[in-house]
Amino acid sequence: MASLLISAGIRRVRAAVFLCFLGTGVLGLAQEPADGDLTNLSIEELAHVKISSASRYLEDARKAPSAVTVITADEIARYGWRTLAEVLRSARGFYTAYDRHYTYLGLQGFLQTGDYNARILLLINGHRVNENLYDSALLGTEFPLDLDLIDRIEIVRGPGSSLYGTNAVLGVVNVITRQASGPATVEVSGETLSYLGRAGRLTGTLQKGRLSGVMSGSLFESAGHSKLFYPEFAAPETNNGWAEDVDGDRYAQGFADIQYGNLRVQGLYSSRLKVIPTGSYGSNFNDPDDRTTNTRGYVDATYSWKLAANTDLHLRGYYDTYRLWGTFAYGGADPATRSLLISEAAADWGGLEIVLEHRLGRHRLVAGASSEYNFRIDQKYYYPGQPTFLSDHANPWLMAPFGEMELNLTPKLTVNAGGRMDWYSTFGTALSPRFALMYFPNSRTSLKYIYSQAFRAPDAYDIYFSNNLDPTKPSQTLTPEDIHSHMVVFERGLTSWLGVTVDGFHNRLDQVIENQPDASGNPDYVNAGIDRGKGVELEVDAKRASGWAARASYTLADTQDGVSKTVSENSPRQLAKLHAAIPVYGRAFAGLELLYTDAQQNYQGVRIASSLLTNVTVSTKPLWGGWKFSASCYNAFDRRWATPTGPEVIQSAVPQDGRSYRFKVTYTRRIERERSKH
Amino acid sequence: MIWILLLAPQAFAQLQDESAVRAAFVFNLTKYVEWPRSSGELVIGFVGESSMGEILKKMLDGKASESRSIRVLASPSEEQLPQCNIVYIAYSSPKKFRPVLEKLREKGVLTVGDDYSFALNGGMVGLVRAGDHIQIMINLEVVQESGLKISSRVLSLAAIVRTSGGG
Repeated sequence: MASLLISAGIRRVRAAVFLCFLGTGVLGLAQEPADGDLTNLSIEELAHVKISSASRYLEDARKAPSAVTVITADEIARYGWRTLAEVLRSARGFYTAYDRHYTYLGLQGFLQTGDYNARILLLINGHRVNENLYDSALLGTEFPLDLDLIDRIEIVRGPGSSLYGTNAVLGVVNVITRQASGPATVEVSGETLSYLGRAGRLTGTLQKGRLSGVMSGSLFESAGHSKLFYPEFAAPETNNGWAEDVDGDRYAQGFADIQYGNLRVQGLYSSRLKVIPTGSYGSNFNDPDDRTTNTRGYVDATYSWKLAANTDLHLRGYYDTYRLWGTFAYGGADPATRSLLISEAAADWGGLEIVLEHRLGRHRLVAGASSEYNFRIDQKYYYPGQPTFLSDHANPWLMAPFGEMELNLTPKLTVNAGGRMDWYSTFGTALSPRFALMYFPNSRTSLKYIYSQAFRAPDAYDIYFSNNLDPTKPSQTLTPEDIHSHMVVFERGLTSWLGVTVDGFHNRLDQVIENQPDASGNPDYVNAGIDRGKGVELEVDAKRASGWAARASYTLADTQDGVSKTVSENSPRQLAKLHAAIPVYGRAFAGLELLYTDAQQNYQGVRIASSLLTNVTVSTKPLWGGWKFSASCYNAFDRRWATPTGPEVIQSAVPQDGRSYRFKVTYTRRIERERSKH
Repeated sequence: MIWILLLAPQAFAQLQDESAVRAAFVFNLTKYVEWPRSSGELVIGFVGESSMGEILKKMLDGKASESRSIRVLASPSEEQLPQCNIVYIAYSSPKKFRPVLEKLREKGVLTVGDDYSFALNGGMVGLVRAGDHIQIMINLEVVQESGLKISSRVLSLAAIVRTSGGG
């Protein structure tokens, strides 16, 4: 039985791919049979082939007007990635920064620590995860979905506002969750990690006729570092620079995805608490009451109709919620002077979206409209027992029609043109066009030129802190940031198992919303920044039938802060990555990850040294009918490294973890039923 | 069909278009089904409302299966229908596909459909979307009444169902 599962797994991996290397540069890419023909698969293999969840009228999945990378669940298991940030960091062009509170993501040379990833649109099954208050994309342990529930992650580099609206400035990351297949299963997973970390998950899946569902709950708790040293606080009154037992991190999450015929209802709820050891926002250092709790939840229902042979209509409605509860101690450790600042934020919003997909001969058309209303966005700051000193309520809304046409002019030439017009109650309109010219000389090669514009709308936090704190300043209306981007992407399958991707990008970000603190040090957001970035990237992917796979990527980025005319902050000039998965005795994989990040400067111009990380994971295939084991060693050579910070903390960089470990066990049990059922 | 908001349906690297997967299943059925009458040619007729007919034609027309050559007939006439070996019925409601099934009852024609209720309403083989893959549903009674034999290799992968009273 076990061997059948294993061999079915191998065969699925070998299942046909019509089009080689779809520009994805991904290890999970399946080996293709000699002529890329599905009819060469055995019926058992066919029964396991995964079908695309997208429009069935898609002429060709290669024709995406972007540079796309797909990362699969197998890779997440083989490389032992613990958070979504670690998964994204493995992809060409990405890098991260962690300040022991949130994890920030950089792409194409841009990372702004204060923006909480507002320039990356994060989706789960197409549902926006960025919340409406800070527009943050939560990527570390604050990401509200357990990685084990992920089937694959589609990373689309480049502006995506032409379909999705705000935040899709640098890229769009869509996390696709796994689906039930076959009989009911129950899965249990447990992990133990360094720094007294432990995690547990319970998942159930069911598929019967038209009904299929996945439900899951996860818990995680880590004590964090018991001692962290920050030289900036090396004075007797701040514990000589030692932050002790103030790095705790924990979360509780639930997820459900139920499909019945053409109806799909999904939702999640996640709450994550982090104790902050860095004395951020000028708060007391080494105080366990410096902590935040981020809670995120939503319910999303979609329904699809087949209007005609070539036309599908989809309707989606959703309700989202976000809560932030933060406490920060001020005034020193002495109880006589110490006081606790409470920061409370709440946002609830809902939306409706309609999308039409139509095939017109060889061409494809998508048209839709989106609307969203915020029932509340409340921000409050107060000291308990005292009147609230900062308070804001807002009800912004937006409406946006959008559309895209894929014109397959000849079998080798495709033009993709689309755009979205957003109306925001806060600032007016934003137009986001996208145009791509794509040439496919043969089935193994593609060459694309893409021009796109995207925007990031000022969020409630930016707006509040640009208008309210200094009554002597003239009030101003923040306008959205925008990006104008050119990209060229070349993809070629050199052999059936080796492919290469080369891309070049040229970005111009204008009206960047920046914090220029006023004379009293209060935050004040203005449209002041200009950033320019250009670069070139190379990636080589290999995947052999024997199971081993490797990918290597290199990014060279040249960025410039358009105002100061110096290199942009938090922008390493070069990135290099190597990933290799090697089968071991046919029952396991060894996954090796090497990540090199060039030196960078933080927002003050302080230089942060380059880093080279080595991560190793050994993971087994399902053994003895359902057991999987995994052992990982991160930063195997215990190198010291740090990532840049922003004005929230006084440290210029936050040192990252040395060598750490994770052990994980997962057990999956199929609940078999009688064969001749109905 | 189930829709995930991936409006620019980009790289589904190792994912296949479900129509192509269904067509590949139909091809496999030609290998694992025994018809009471044999001939040098295997005719697949297509009836219905979707682009499946074009895909069947593109992928299977002219292909060889077990030393017979496949011919795909899009929209066969009344006389041609019972002369097909396989008829693929792409209607999404029993009201539409039942009359076709009636015409083909016990005529030694393998009926294949893609609606969930196809096999429960007298169809022989349903190729339905189940989450992220295609699931085979087989109504063995109807198959046997028609004098057809399906190999156990296919039966072991399929969900065997019975005609439900009242559809």
